[in-house]
Amino acid sequence: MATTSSFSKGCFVFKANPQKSGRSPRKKTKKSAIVDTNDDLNASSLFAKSDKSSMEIRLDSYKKIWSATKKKSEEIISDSHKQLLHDVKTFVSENAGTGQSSIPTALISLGVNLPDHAAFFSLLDTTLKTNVSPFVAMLNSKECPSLKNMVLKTIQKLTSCDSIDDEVEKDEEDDEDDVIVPIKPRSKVKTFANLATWYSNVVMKTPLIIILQDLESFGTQQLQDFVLLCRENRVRNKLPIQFIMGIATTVALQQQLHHRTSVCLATKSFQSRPSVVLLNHLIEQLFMKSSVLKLGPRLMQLLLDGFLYHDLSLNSFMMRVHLIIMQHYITLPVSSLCCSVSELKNRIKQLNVTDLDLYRQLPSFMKFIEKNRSKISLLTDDKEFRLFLQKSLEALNTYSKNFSLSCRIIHSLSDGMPDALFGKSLREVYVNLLIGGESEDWEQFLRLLNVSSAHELRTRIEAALTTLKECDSSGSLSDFSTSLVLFSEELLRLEESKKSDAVSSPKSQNVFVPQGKKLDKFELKAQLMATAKQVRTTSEFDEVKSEIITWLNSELASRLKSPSTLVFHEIFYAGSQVQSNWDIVPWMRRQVQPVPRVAISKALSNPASYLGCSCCSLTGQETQVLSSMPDLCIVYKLHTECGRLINLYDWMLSFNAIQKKDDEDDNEEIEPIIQARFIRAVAQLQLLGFIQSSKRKTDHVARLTWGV
Amino acid sequence: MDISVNTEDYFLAQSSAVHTSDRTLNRLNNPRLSQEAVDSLMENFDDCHSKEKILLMKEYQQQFLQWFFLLREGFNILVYGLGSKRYLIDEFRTRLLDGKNVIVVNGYFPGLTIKEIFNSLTDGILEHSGGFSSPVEQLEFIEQEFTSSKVEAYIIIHNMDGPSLQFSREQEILCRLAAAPGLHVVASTDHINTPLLWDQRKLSQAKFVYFDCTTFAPYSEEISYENSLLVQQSSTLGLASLVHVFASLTFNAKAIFILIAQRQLENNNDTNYHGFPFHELYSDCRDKMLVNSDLTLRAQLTEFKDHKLLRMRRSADGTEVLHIPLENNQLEEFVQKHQE
Repeated sequence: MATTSSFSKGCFVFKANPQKSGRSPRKKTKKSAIVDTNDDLNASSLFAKSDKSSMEIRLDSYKKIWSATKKKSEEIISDSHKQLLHDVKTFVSENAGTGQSSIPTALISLGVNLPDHAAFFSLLDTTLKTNVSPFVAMLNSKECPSLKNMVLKTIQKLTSCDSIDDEVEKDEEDDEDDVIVPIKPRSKVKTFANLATWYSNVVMKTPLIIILQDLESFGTQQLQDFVLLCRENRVRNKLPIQFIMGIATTVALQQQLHHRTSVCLATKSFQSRPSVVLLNHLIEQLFMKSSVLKLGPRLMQLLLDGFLYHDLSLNSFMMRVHLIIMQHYITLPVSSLCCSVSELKNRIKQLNVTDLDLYRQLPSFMKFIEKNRSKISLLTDDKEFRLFLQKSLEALNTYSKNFSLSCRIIHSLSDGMPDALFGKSLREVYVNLLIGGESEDWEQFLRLLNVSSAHELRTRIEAALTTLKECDSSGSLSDFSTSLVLFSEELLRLEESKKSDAVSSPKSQNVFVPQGKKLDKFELKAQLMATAKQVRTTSEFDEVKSEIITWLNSELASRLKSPSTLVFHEIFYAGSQVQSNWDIVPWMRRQVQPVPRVAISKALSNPASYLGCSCCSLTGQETQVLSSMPDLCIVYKLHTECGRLINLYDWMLSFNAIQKKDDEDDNEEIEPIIQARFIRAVAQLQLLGFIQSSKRKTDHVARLTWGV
Repeated sequence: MDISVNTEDYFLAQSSAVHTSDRTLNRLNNPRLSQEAVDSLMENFDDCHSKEKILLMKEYQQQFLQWFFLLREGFNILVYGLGSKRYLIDEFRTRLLDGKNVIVVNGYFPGLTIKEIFNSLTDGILEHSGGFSSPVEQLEFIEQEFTSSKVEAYIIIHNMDGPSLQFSREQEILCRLAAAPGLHVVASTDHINTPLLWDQRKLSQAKFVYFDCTTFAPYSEEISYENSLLVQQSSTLGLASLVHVFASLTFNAKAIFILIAQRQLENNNDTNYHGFPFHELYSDCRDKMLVNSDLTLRAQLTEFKDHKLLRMRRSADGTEVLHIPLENNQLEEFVQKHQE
């Protein structure tokens, strides 16, 4: 291929080869530009260590699972915006007239997760266009650098829906033919005056809606002018203009909307749901329901950290989920069995002997064999192993279903407890239990249940029952719910009998103060001691309570053990501990928290960590300089010893001193080759951004970093 | 490796006085090596870790298929780490992108403009014959074409943080391009502060998948354009251009320049000296009958300024002062040469 370096240009084009015949050109003008998109076969060699069929299965599963996940997440997100969209729609249609002089404005506060806003606005756009008015202009600050652009864009977008309709009709006429690239018709409508004339000819007198996506990023003055202009036209030309403004933070509002602007607006504010709520919803729907692939504890933690402490963006969350699904199927050879239960049998049948060995190498299976020596025949008997595989994977499936359900039960049982033991939201409960939270939490939970009153206990159990009824459609926990029903009935009976008791003997006995007698301090103390010594008679309620707690401890706790204790969990829980070359967690960590700077610093201060050579390996501190290291590393290490300014000459001398052999005498003569190497290294250090030329002192450079 | 940033260190570094010696490169036998000299010297230089570097390169090349798969799945690739990644990415291009639409952008090329990238896409790949009234329109056209039609193209950007791309606007545009379904970007970055260029929105558009490709390869191509980098070279150029321009000056103009230069040399140890005050220069010049009015002097000075031989600024007390932006030793050299 031709060279890509030149002193006169920085851009080089390599055109695709002209297409083979047999493919109908979509567009006359650029036949040759179409590339064959069916490159999947090329990707096949990606899947190392497996034959073709396994590769195809995995690729297929990846595609299926990702598209399902994607579809579901989109549904969830659009569902969660439903209420807000409805409210905005109602607001817009209620204020359709031009009666009032101020412009009806919907302020929608959407939170700081800017990348997610696009999805909302596109939904809003479709909703408004289908339900309220076809005249919607959606603007963002990037396309409106000046007022002129802003006005042009607005008008162009408001009027464009007309021409689209025309085009569609035209297209229908000459259907099937090659469509020539539609060149945007240059609209004649360019000013507000034109717009008014245009609007007077429009049949549907629906409002003109202008959406400003990111209010904060528009210039204050520009915004003010624009608003005044729109108001002027609303009043004089009777144009039913309305605004919808998206805001990220409320603070910006006062700065952005000057008093002169805001008096022209009749605002109403709307609030979207915080993205954390959406995230909880997503995790509940995507990973707690019957999804095939689940996130292992380490990856779940990683993704949550990325979301909660970094960007709060659902968009990037989903992008990471995409990467995880992809990586799981590509990197893990055993992922071909990561499928729904119905497919399992067939897939296990298809496995060949080498595949089976891969499954035998899984750490969880090895551990299992170590513990159950009697099952050692599994290592050799393929038929038995296949059966075992099927049984274990089915058990795993039931386990994860029960696990999510148990999480829900725990959530409703512990709801409102002090300290929010397992977390406030269901997502927190799930993640905490998945990670295998401390057993202290569990004990504390039981203790708190133990001190609760009969009524409280019953409410909790009933809440758990409701959750069970809602979620357990398959009835896999039916015996569990039967016991719960029994307990709740028992408690109810107790409560009622107590009530009737209370009615029959309204005078409750006071143990401490005998009536009619005044006690002094010592007497009271003695009395109290005596009561404490008395064995408390266990009531019927206490018995039931302890029964409930023992039952919970045995039934629920067993269902809540961490997935990593189960055999073959690696297949369904992405990012579990596996052989190091199958482990995707370090790779994912790099994607969630990319650290280019650390990579550079590490390479510079400890080159052996990348090069793997023995000559440069550090024996002491990181600041150690060895003459065998690459020039750039030596120069870097020398520069970290300096302050703000570095004397080039002295720097070069130290570089020379390191390069010199010990036996050479101590003269300061610098060979040209050393000088050239030094110059190169310094130039590269500047490219990396560690130093900068400085005019403060002759032959000095400024250091741009500090510390080591 | 753990890099903990200690904010205290910053203030320590800034508050301490700078203690460096006053020695300059003039103490060397040959203080100013030219670019050619460096190149010819380095040509024969044999690097000790070549074997390890080849191994590293081989290791990274095994990721190529993964890169390609990710690109096809709608992600874009960002390669970081110490060492030039030009060769690695070029290898990727020749191996996997052969026969596809590819645009190679050298971000380190100082004359690169975003327009050039646009034109490569519209003229080179899309073969669009019409013109565009504005870059915005061109960008929208590109986005639309690569979204709606089946056309695909790969954009390779060496040094996405290069001198002509390291601005918010340029990055914004590159990320928008990367977001188009038909455009796939493979980019490399080197500067340690590059991540500061991207905000949430840009990152979510770009959908980068990061790869650490520390190659230790020399940045020979990348630094060949940066003449300011070779401190040695840039000042030689300054002196050379001064001699050149000076030769073409009139006698009076030469004398005026020498006056300023001498005054600057006399005061070279005075840190409070900011430049030759204009009114003093005027009276000096009148005394020597070099100029006859304020205006003629200004005309002369403007010529110096146009050739960047002179800098004019206002001092603290509001007077205009004149300063020659050259190192003192070079200025001295120059004045001596002139007097000879």
